[in-house]
Amino acid sequence: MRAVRQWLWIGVETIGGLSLLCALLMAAAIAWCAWGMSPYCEKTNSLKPRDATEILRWGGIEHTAKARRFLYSKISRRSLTGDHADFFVLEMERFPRHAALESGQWMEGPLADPASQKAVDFSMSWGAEGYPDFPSRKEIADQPYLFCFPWINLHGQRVTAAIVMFYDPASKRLFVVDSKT
Amino acid sequence: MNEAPLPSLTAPQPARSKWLARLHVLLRMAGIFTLTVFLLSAFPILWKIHQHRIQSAQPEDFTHLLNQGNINLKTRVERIAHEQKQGANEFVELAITPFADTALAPSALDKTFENGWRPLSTLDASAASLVGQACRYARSAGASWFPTEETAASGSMSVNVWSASLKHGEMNAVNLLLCDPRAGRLYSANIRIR
Repeated sequence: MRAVRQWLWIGVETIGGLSLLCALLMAAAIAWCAWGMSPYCEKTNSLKPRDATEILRWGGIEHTAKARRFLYSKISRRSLTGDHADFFVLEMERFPRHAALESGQWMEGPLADPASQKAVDFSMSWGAEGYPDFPSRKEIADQPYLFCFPWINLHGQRVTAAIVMFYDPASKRLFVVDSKT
Repeated sequence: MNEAPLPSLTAPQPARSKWLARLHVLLRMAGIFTLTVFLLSAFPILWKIHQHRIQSAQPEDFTHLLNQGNINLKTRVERIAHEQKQGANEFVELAITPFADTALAPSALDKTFENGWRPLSTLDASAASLVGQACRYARSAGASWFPTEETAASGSMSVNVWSASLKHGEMNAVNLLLCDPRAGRLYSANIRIR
């Protein structure tokens, strides 16, 4: 009986230890989230060329395209619900134009699909035009860019989150906006 | 034969064992607290699951769809006409009390666009295409009672695209409501494509 009681207490203490550990992890996660929401965690031009692979993967061209360097990158702070607006400008060494268009994931402008147009408007509404090297809305509409929309979230007909990529063949620059509201 | 003397209970304990004893008390308290919270919160959930198993779905289980469409004050669920679950996808047809007013009728919505409800003809091409895809997807998933795209566009129905996501331009997820307010029918499609 005494041995059973002893094992019972060991079980309770183990559960207690695990719950305290969970509480500590949760506190750390909350602190991490709070840090993510603070202006201190905004990162500008902090990405290395190897980070480009992840961005190229969004467009399905990670194996065929090659980025030379980041001309500009900004990772914004996150709100509690994950709202953010990240901007990336990549100088490309190689862009597989034909393969990208053939994959169906990339398309040539001008954009006819309303969801795509709204996604571009939504992405540019975060002040992208003010960032170095970013094209204006007029340039996006007029220039023969290639577009890719890895992700668009709609609420009704309103875009609430989108990843928009567009490539300028003339300057060999890939522009990416990842935003959520 | 000499036996080692038993430690005295009244003797002062070393500092290390004192802290160890405190740790044990702390762990026990945390354990008891966790178990109490777990039991208190798990019991109602387990009871609900048990109830759900022995009963089929009730009309009140779908009032969240009325809330989603902001029509909970205008109508109520009378019965579940059809329900189909297939993996993460769920399709429902509810018989609802016909609306007393015509606020959701497509003719009225042309002007008001109340609470996100619209006639299909006024949706932009992307949203209308999503509704069409959702209708086809529902019917191909076996929900043959779900309206066709043509029925949805017939003029008697209004649509509420609650949320949708597109992956490389293709429908990835959609959660929408279709309502025929005069006939008293509400359809819901919740689609998640993996």
